[in-house]
Amino acid sequence: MMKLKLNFKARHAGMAALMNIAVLGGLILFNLLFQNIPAQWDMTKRKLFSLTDQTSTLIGGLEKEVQIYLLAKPGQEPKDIKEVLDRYAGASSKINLDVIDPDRNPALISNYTEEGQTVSPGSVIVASGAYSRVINRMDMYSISYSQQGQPQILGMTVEQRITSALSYVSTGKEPKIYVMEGHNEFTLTDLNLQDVVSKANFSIETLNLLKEGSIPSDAELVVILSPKRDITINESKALASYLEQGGALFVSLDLTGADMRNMDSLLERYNIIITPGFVMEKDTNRLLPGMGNNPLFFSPRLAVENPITDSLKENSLDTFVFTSMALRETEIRKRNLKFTPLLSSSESSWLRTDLNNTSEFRTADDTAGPVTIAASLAETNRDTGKEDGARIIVFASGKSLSTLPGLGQIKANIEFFINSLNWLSEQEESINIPSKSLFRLPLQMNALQAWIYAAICVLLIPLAIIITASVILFRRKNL
Amino acid sequence: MLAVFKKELLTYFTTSVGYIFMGVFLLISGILFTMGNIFGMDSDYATFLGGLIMIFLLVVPLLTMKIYSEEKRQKTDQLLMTAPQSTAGIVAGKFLAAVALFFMTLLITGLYPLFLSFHTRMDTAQIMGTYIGFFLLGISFISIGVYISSLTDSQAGAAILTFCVLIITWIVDFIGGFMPVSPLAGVIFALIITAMTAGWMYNATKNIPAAAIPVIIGVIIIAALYFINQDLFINLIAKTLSWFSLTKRFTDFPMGILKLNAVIYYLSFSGFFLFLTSQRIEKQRWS
Repeated sequence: MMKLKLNFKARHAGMAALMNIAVLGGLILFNLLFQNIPAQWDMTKRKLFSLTDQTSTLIGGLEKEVQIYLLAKPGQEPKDIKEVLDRYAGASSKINLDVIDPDRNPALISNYTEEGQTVSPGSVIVASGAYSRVINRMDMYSISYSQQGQPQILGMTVEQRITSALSYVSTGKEPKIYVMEGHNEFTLTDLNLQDVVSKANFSIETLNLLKEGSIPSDAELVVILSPKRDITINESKALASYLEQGGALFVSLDLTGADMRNMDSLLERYNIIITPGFVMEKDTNRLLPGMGNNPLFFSPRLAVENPITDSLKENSLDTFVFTSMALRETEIRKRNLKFTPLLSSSESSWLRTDLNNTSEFRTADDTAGPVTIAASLAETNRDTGKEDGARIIVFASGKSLSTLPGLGQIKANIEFFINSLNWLSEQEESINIPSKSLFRLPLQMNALQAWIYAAICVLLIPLAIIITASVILFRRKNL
Repeated sequence: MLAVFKKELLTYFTTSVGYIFMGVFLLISGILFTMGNIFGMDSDYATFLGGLIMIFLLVVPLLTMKIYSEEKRQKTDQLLMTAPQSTAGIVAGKFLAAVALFFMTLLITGLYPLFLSFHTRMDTAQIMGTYIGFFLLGISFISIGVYISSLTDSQAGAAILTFCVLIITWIVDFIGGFMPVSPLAGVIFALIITAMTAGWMYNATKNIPAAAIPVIIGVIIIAALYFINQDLFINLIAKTLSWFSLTKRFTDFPMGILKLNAVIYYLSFSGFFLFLTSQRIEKQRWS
């Protein structure tokens, strides 16, 4: 039988080998220990991989366990999404994150998807109890399409989507919005907004008020998109009684030339007056050279510190409006109604009410700007002082929500619309999470500067090294 | 240690090695930077820096090939062994000299983002983070090079071997994706690791019972883990490769995330290879 008897050399070698193994094992253990300590610094300027306070508050209030699945082959996870999900999992013991291989777990995934629905790798499933939501990978980025149809990633909306899904699955709350029909309105599908709105946690129904007679009791908010004909007196009454009970209304309007007296009188009850006409802007910073500086097409100013426009401001997203009408507050106002302009034109703009005037410049008949283009209205309870009464947002350029010729659909306009719906349905927590911009400023450099830098980097630096080397080596050789 | 460090650093500048390393690295990075960022009008510097690792990988062998092999060839290693210096001090001095040269080269590339910052707003913190990552990954590469240089007395051999090993560490993540994922494959992989440890032990001691010890311990641990939680062995090969991967941890840095565990991993990785190097040198005392 062999014995563990070692000579001098073998004993040393054995000891050395054992020591190597022990050191390796020790280092691995040490690293594993630190593996689970979430100490890290988010060094990105826009804090791409940190959670906002709104999300932290929501996570802090979670009562039920939430399961998040990231669908990806092991080792091929989209890192940017995974990093944000890790922050969620690290923020609460109630959130469990698993990366699952979609090819190996089709049964598990089919529990959360509808029949025939395919989920692309990189997508996320958020589930809690009976509620779940599937978020497609592409929905976690804000993407704009160039005129040639090339997609370009502008920002990350992972947190927006995940928090919205968390809020939904943990409460099961999915506010119902009723989109009015019967007056030649746009539908959400016409405006390409159906998908965006349902992803923002709303369940969508259509409403024909003439047939129904009153607003359904489960309506969280009513949306009227650019009616071409006026509403009837009965409809106006039904809407008024809904608003009196603390309802919420989004109205977008366009210049149609139709008599809209019932709609006007409904809004007037809430201190809002619409002036038919169109706003013309002359401030060249707000016009688009690509549109020939057309004064009817401009980027309005955003309200200061407002939950509806803040996310646009933070990301420097510009809304654009086209042939907008004007809004203003009535002279005699009900005190408990708070009117807040959201979008307005500049001082160098004006409102033209004489539609036959074709001058590109301001004439005597025009009313001087600034002109309000969109406004929110909140009713405060006289007794408690809380803003829990009616909420209305009026947008006087309904067409701007649709696809604009030569520009496509304006992303900021869609975000403005969704933020408006969130504010109206009092879902403030999902409003303030902006999409985080990945946009980089391009280099402002002329050709000469570029050549100078190229010369420094490619010629000067390597040459300096070669010359120094030659001098030193030559001197040493001739010592 | 300081004496060795000074002498080594001076050698880089009094021979052509240091200049070749700096010259080649800065020339290639200058060309890439000019093509990508200057003429490409792209202000994304962190991604450029991430791509530069590949170039660094090509020049590391230049930096480390002669560190020990040259001493061995000229038999000056015996002088070192008898010098009033600890083995660890010698290893650390030589390693730090290479790191210092690498650091100086990186400092010069700091001009690039400076140029860009005149013409756009730069994400300074993110660039600093990427540089930290680059530096840490760089010292890990250098530590591999130092170890390999201690294995041979041929500079060319050390350079080629270093290059091959670095390429393997570079693609190890990629290889992981093609490995079988079943628990059985995981168990076989764990057994192979155990067998390799035993082989290493046998090679060192030439004694079968000494080599049998790691086999017995390894098999017991594997069997116990298999019965406790079989899931541990699913996709074990890819998981292990990915955990040890140097490049996978680096990907966080250009994204702007500085993770403590990545910093610790790189430092322990370099530390381990330096430890192996000093063991290797120490071996000459008793073999």
